[in-house]
Amino acid sequence: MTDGQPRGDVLPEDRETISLAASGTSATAAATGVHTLPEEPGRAHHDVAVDYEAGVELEARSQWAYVRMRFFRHRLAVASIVVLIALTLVALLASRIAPYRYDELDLTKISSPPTLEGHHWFGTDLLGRDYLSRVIYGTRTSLLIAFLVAFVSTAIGTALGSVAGYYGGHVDNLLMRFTDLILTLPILAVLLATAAFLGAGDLKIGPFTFPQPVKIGLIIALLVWTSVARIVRGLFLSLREKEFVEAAKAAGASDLRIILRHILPNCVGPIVVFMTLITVVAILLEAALSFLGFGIQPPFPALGKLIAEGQAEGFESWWLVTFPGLVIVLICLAINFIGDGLRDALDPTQRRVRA
Amino acid sequence: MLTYVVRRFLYSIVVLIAASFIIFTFVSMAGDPLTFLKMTPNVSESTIKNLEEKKHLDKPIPVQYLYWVKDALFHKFGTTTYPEKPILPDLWRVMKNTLQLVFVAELLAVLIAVGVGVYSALRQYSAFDYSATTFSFIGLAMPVFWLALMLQVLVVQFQGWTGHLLFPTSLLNDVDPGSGISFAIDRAHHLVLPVMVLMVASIAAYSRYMRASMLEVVNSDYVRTARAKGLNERQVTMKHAFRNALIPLVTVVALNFGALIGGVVVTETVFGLDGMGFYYVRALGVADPYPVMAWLMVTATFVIVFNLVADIAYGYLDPRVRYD
Repeated sequence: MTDGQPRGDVLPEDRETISLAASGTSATAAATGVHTLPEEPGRAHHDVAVDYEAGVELEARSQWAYVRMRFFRHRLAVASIVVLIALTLVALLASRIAPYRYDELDLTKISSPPTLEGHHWFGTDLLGRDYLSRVIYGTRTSLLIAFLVAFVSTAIGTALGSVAGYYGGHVDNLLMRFTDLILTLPILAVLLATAAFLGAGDLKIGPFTFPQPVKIGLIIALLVWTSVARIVRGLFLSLREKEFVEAAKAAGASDLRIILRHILPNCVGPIVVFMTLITVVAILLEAALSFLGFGIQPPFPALGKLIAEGQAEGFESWWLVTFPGLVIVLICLAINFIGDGLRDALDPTQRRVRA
Repeated sequence: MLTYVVRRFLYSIVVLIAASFIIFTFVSMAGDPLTFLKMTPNVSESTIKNLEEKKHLDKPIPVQYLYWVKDALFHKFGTTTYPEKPILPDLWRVMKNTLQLVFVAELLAVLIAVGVGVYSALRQYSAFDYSATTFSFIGLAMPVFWLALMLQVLVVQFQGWTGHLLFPTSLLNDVDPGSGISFAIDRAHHLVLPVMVLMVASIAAYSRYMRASMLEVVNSDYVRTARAKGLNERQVTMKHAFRNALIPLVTVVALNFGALIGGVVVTETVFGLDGMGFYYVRALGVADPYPVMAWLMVTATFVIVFNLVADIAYGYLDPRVRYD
């Protein structure tokens, strides 16, 4: 914000939040010459096919083309996408990729350190179960929960945030005080209490049965939507004053239509960035929950639970604690980098990492 | 200013009351406090019946809430469900231990993070800056309990190779810690690993904020003015830039308390420290709602007080903040 560049005017100048606007740099296409685009992407409204004055042909590129371009220049983020997709595929195809079943016992090979023999790359535990397979299945559980939390809590946060921001006044006051209240509770502690008092196993509410991972995911989602709600509210507060909203109102659009079709699309960028943050929080929370014994219950493997089992078997079997933890770190790092890349791509004026 | 402080204080009390109601409804709706007891053999029907009456479990939740508030205010949070043990003395003991741990860890973390953040900002894009950034990213991606376990693994493996135990890996004290100085040394020795674990996430987060805030200040107009009027670099950095860059960090540190509690729960469980986190997990293990609610109230109070302090301190430190 302090770099003194002129900013694009399509979007809000909300100083507390990451704004979506691709800012215009002073470099215009005409100045840089033939066929190539300026190094920093040009004006926000860049839909001109030909710049007649300079006699140069320009490619028409949408805003999202620029975002994509900038994102792919962030090498760490691209590498992270590859890693995350690979891990997700491994998790989805667990039953085909894992060399063993996660509960397959082999009492002839107990507590074996990592070895190439029999594909026990991550070693085996006290019951001779292959740890690589267990970690793969654990990754599946943890990723499933993380993505579930990301979608559900983003949906809750977006819904509450947009209603609060769009209508303002008492609605806004009430919803935001409620959000503040949730923020005063230490999240892991509340999560532990909920999980502990709900009890282990599947959750049954009326005719519905939620399997363990879904139950844990929903509990986490109900606690972590606050950051998204605040961001979306902030964006809505400034966007609802814009001319295009006024125009939509004048044209007789309903509130719902204005929120969904006119304002919300302008908030997609920041929401996606915050979604990555939430995913990381969800993975770490679920891991801690399972580690402390209030999350996923055996024989279901989850990464946090695997670490707890490793701890119970003593530190001579160091591999049991090490590998699941490394996978958690890898996933979280990858998602954080993706978030960083997205932030830089969506808002080049607030670049945090040099691309 | 004074009206602002008073209003802010009154608001905090309202939040605290609301939080107490949320905590109570939340915990009572999540499950029957006597589940665990009912599954325990040798506990007779009549004992359970008596307890139900005594804890007013047959009443609707708002009424139960009022009974609970009465208990909390006039009977020091009452007792655990069964066996009936006063909650507050235990809570008091573990709180002292935890505050000791948290205070040392946060103090060191803030000092280190400020140093790292300022130096990173002054030498932006240097090798040091990149290393610090990498450290932060890893620190924020690492589960706290895993870091604790890995440190334990290292210490145990090291002991295996050399026969020398670098640091104790569990408990707050030896069986016979002595007293006075030797007690303090023993305690410090036991706290080394837990403090290191708690510090990592805090340093990772704070140093990022410090760097960002220092960068913003260094590029601001008044720092340019200070240079223009001929102050030397040291004066510009220390007197003009550094002091102002510290202000946002005050808020960040104060507001981080809630997240810190999560780290404490996990760290104390891994190291088996007799602190709040360990106490909480044990109370949850037997699904006893009364110590759990008391614990949540105490931590919520801490968080709310820190919020209050952060707001007031911010206004005091930054005269640009307006009250209206």
